[in-house]
Amino acid sequence: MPRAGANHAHALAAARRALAAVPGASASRRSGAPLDLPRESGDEPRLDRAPALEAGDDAPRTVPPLAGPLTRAFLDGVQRTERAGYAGAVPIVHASCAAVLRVRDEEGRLRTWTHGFARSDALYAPVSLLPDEIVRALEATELGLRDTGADGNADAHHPLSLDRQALDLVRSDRAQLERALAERWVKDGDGWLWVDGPLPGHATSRAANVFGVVKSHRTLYADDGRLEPILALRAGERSRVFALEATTRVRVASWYLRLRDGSGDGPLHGLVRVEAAITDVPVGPRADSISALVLAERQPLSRPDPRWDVMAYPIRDAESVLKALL
Amino acid sequence: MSAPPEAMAPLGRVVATEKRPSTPHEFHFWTALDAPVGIGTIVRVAATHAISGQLPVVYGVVSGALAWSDMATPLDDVLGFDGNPGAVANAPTRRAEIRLYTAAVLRQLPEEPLQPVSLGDVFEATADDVAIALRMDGYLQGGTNTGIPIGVYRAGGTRAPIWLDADFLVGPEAAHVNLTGISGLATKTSAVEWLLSGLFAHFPADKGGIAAVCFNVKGPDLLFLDQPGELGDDDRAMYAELGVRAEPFQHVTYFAPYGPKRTSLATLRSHEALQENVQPLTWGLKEVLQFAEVLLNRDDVDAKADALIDFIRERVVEQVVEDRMLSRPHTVRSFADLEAWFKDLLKGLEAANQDSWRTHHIATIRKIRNRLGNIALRCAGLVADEGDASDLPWNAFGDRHVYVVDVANLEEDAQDLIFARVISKLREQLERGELGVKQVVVFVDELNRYAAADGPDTYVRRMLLDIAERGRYLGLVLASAQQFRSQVHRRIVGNAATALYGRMDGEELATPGYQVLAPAIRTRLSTLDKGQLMVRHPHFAQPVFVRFPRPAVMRGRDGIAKFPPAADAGLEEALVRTLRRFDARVSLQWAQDLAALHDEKELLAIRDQALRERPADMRAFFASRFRTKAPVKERTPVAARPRPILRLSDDDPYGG
Repeated sequence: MPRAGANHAHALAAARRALAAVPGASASRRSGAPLDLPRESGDEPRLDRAPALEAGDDAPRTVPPLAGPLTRAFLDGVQRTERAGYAGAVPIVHASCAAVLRVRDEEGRLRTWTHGFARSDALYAPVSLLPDEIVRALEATELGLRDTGADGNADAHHPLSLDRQALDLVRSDRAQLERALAERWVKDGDGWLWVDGPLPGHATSRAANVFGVVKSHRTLYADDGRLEPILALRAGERSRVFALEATTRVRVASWYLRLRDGSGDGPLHGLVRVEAAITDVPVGPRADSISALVLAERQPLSRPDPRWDVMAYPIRDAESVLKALL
Repeated sequence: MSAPPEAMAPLGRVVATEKRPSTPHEFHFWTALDAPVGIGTIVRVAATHAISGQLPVVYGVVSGALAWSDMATPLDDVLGFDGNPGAVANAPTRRAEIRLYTAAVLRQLPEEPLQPVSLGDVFEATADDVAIALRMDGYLQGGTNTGIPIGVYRAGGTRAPIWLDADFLVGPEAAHVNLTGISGLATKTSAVEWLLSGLFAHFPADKGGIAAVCFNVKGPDLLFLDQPGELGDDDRAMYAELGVRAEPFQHVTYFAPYGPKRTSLATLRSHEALQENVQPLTWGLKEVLQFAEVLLNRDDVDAKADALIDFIRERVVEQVVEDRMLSRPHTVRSFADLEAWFKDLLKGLEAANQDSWRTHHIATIRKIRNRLGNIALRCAGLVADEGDASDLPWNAFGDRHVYVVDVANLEEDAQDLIFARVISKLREQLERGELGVKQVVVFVDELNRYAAADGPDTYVRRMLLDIAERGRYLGLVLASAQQFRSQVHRRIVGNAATALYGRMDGEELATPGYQVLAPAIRTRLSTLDKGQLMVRHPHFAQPVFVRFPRPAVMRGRDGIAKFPPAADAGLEEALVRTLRRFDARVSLQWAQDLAALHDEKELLAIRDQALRERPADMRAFFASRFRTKAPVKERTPVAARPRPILRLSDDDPYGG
């Protein structure tokens, strides 16, 4: 188990020392500032069509009370980025990624699963844009160097674009950690696994005992583009199940679920989207069962987190653990 | 035997932050929620960085405890459960919470350099750790063991005997012990009884004999020290652990003055079966006059009066006094003699129309006559008219012997007189090495009353101060107790090297003297169970909580139930009760015959004489005393005396 807060700072300091020793490179003196990136076009709010997977109209479905055992495990991941320095105008980013899988015991206490923690630390930079001696110096550090790539597009050489590419790779590495833990649970774990965000990876997207809970709604999915039935959901109600499919991922079932009413707090207050594998079980009853699991986590509140209306307390707990360990 | 340190799992870990740093005297650590740690728990910290090649070990005692959760405000919980506390049980997850403890450093090894406590694992202290932490290892060595048991430290799986150092309890390095706590809940009397048991069992033989003088100031508290009490298995285990035999005191003698009628002693220990070691405490004029100033109001008695008292003490008492102002020679041995001398002198002065006698003004003489005459009234029962004393066994105190002086039924003046004389006499004899033992523990309860911080500067208070400040050089040890330590003279409690605290009153704990204690320690003091004490001792860097066994002696109220006090006796029954234990032939009929023939005062005087001399044949002793005297009463038939019940010899409760 890494020491809390120690590795990131030590690794960053080591990287900065290495950069400071190489002619043509400079170590950043700023500390604690994550990458500041402009909004991408892909981040704009949008609506996507998704075909219905459940029979019946798009009227709200009231979720029945929980009949089975509670969710047993919760998975979340986090990343921490910081500029270690520059080689000319090329940013060299240091990132720590970590994921944790917390299990709940019979007394309701959360603890990290035996195989439930993973982390990685690395430097991120476009190798093709760096002088050889800097590449060698960075590769010689204990962190290793991850190539963020750079194509011939002139825009891609914009320092902020370089940051973006680094951040994309960091996110990918974090997702990889989450995916590995989720797959380990699918293999060795016992009980339901709650993943914070979309289902990670193919194996997890096919597992019957895993579901993902998405808290942000930059993209809203609706059959026939009709949003009203979703935004009109009341606490304890779910939408009709629809299918999510993309070339890069396995087709999964998804639906919206209102955790809390919040008149005056906006239509997205207390609204989450749930993802789960499509199995032999009929999608309606399966969506009811999983929705009941999600609703059961409305207490205790995850305040003071600003996303308390959609964040389950065990996920906040996982974030606290990651924050302490990273 | 304690487990080796490396075999134990840590129960916590030291944390130090900028806002909550470690210091050389304090550190903080967190534990699992179910760790057996609480206020008073002793822990060991294994440091990770060696200093001069040695890994420091720090011992601490928990003095504060905090717990909190990740909740930002209480309102979050209210909102989270819709204001329904019952809904909390349905929540699937328990909030993350922390147990954070603060510990005061007891000892660091090595002692130099004294550094802040570093981060490290925290372990539950073993019995060996406790001995090191409290520096008991310095005086529990085989050859020079001066440990006196005070109780057992218990926390988690650890039981460790706690020892005081006799050199700091009885002297010569330091001395005196003070107990404080709420009446009835603090078990002050029990603690003293237990401490004396431990002292008698473990006091090093090479330091000479030790005895105890206990003043019983209320009820039957100390009146059954020689009777076995009820003990539980846990008590017996503690006795075994601490090397003390679970039995009552083997050698106890009780002293009590007579009641106002002088027929029976003014004590609740008056059951016939317990009279073997009960003795009257009576003093004559000589003894009382030595301490007359105890009883006289200082505002009332000026230098002139002092001079007259000195004159009487030096030139009148126990001498044949002849003077032209006196109608006859006076031999003053008792208060009655003194009164006769005063009366004759004043009569002579009036007849001669003189207003002074040997430089003493007649008004002073009248005043002192009045004051001294009052003593006999105020201390009736203690002061023997005839002048013969029945006293503590001066010059012959026994080793491991307890002398209980029962003053519970006396007026305040008489109590003061007894304190003053007994303690002065103890001091005097210890100073000269004549007492028979080298150390005496004097137990005084209700110190609030006898040495009040803001009370008058009485003789008793000055004497207690004197013991507190100089007693340790003499072997005179003050074991004092009170309900409110803050109300006792500071120099008395301040000189007590060892302080024991039972359950305390919240108001008392709010006084400035307790501000040196951490708030959590004060809270624990206010909730201590019976049988628990907080101990401060010179070797202990911080107070430590212990549990002590119930004393192996009968509790006062149990004693009263088992040995009910005898009913107030008439003259004849009183004679039989007191004399029969020396001579089984003494009968009620014999006593009735004596009472019919002789004056009560005379009979009681002969009884007192008999009690001092303890002849084998009481009847012959009495007969010899009356042989030369004609009966003062006309003999009247016994049946003619008014009696509620005519007792035949068969009904004689003391036998025929």
